[in-house]
Amino acid sequence: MSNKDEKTNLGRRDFLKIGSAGAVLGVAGITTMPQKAAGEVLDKETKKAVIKAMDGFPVKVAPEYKPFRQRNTVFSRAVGGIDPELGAKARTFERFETDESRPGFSRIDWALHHGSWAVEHAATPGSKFGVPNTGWYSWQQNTHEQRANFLDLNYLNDERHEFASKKEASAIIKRAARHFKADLVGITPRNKMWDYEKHFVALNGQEIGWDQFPFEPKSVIVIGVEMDYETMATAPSYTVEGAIGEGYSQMAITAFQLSVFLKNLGYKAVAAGNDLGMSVPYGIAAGLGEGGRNGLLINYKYGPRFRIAKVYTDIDFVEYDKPVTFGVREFCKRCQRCADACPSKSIPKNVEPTMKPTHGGESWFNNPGVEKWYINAKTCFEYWCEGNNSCASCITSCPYNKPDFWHHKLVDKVSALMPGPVHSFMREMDIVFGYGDTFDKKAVKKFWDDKNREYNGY
Amino acid sequence: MIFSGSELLFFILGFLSCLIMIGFIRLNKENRLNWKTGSIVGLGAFLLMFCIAWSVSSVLEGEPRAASMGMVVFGMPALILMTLGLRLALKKN
Ligand code: SF4
Ligand code: SF4
Repeated sequence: MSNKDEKTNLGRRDFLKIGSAGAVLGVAGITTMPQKAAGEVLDKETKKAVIKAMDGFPVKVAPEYKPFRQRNTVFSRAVGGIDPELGAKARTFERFETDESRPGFSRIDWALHHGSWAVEHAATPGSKFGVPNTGWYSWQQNTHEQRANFLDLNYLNDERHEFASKKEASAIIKRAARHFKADLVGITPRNKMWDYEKHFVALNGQEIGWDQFPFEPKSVIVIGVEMDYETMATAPSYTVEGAIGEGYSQMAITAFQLSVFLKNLGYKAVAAGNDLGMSVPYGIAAGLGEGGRNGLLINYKYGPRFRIAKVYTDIDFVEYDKPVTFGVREFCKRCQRCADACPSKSIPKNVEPTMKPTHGGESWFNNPGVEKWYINAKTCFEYWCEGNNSCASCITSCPYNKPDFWHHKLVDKVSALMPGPVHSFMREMDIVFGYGDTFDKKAVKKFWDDKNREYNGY
Repeated sequence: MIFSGSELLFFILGFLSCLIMIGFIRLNKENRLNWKTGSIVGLGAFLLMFCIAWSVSSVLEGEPRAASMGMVVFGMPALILMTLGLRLALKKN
């Protein structure tokens, strides 16, 4: 046998040997390796380089900062009869108006919108306008004597459960929240700076002080519920209301169940949606993310594609979470995709965040004294009324809004570790690769497309 | 479904890595690789694997444009580097 042949034969034998060993190892690997273990370890280790825990609130707050009065939110002014002009516009919102020739605005999309919001409307009426003490977000803490019957969900058990340690208390609360379908949970001390100075009942125009609240809250459990990526891609439309309404409905379910869980452990608890306090700073304080240019909380996993609910409680024997940073604010300085995508031009384009609004219009709905980008909530709401849906283009267009796939995590990590000019490049690549399109008719078609879906489990 | 799309993708990538390593070993045995050709072929092979991983993942997540862009942005340089590197390696003797 010639040298050449010997080499070739050896090569083939090698190939077969290595190939079969590889196959055996592959099969053995799949069956014996703890599922996703390698990926998880890698992800966990690389996260450490990117996500930094912070001591104290990570955003500059002016010493003269004052808590915000809820009556000054756009919803309160529009629905609570304070601003008749805005009120007239608000009354045109959610008018029954469908158009079969416009993807995302057909009768079916309209029905999806209302089906998705149904739980929120039925269980916590008015809460989307920030109405407090409504339905499942009730303030009632019934004592043993006040207990209506054994199914009274407002009953506060008079025997308090004591946790062995703060760590255990936090772990149990978070595990229960996850069981109740929370995708994110963080716990932070109650901070009056982020609470509304006074509550506002938009349905009757009444202001209520904290003295009416049934107890002194010590902690706030902040809950995040994911909104579906595919549905979110249809913004703005009635279809996207499917994602938003579903998020609000899940907020009500999860926060309410967690409040009942706490009451059964003997701790006072009130579930809340948009009421009681501002969700974004509470979310930042509880370590769920950073505040973005679009005025929303940006989470490491979901970007801005999630809704925030809260549970105010009197338990303080818990381990609190720390705020985190993973480079969102730096990225926002160069990105501005949400500002470009906003159909009402309500998102500012100034590179650096500021201590007061820069949009130049009315600003009664902004609360100055925090270093951030101040959006024009009034023009945003007016666009909602005009377009007859809650838009959400600033969520869809954000480069942090991605499905949970390895390659996005990789890009996010690289981007967080790189300096500013790379962020501009990443933004451009995001556009070129086709992510974050809004007014995308194909997205609506894809949402309703039956291809590759199975409904019967096999 | 026995394997999810991602599981299958990474299994195939593992198999491809194995083939690439065998190719490297053979080229090395035949003394056809130096640091220059080795780096070009190596980078090309890495980009090719990354291109497959990216594009298949993009299809799995329902983003066809990202998949085709992945082929252009990672696949083209991969093919150019691999062709160049292999030609240099095979021309040597
Ligand atoms: S919801 Fe729409 S209109 Fe409002 S800020 Fe976001 S993108 Fe602009
Ligand atoms: S779209 Fe860009 S600028 Fe806007 S919030 Fe997201 S990352 Fe920040």
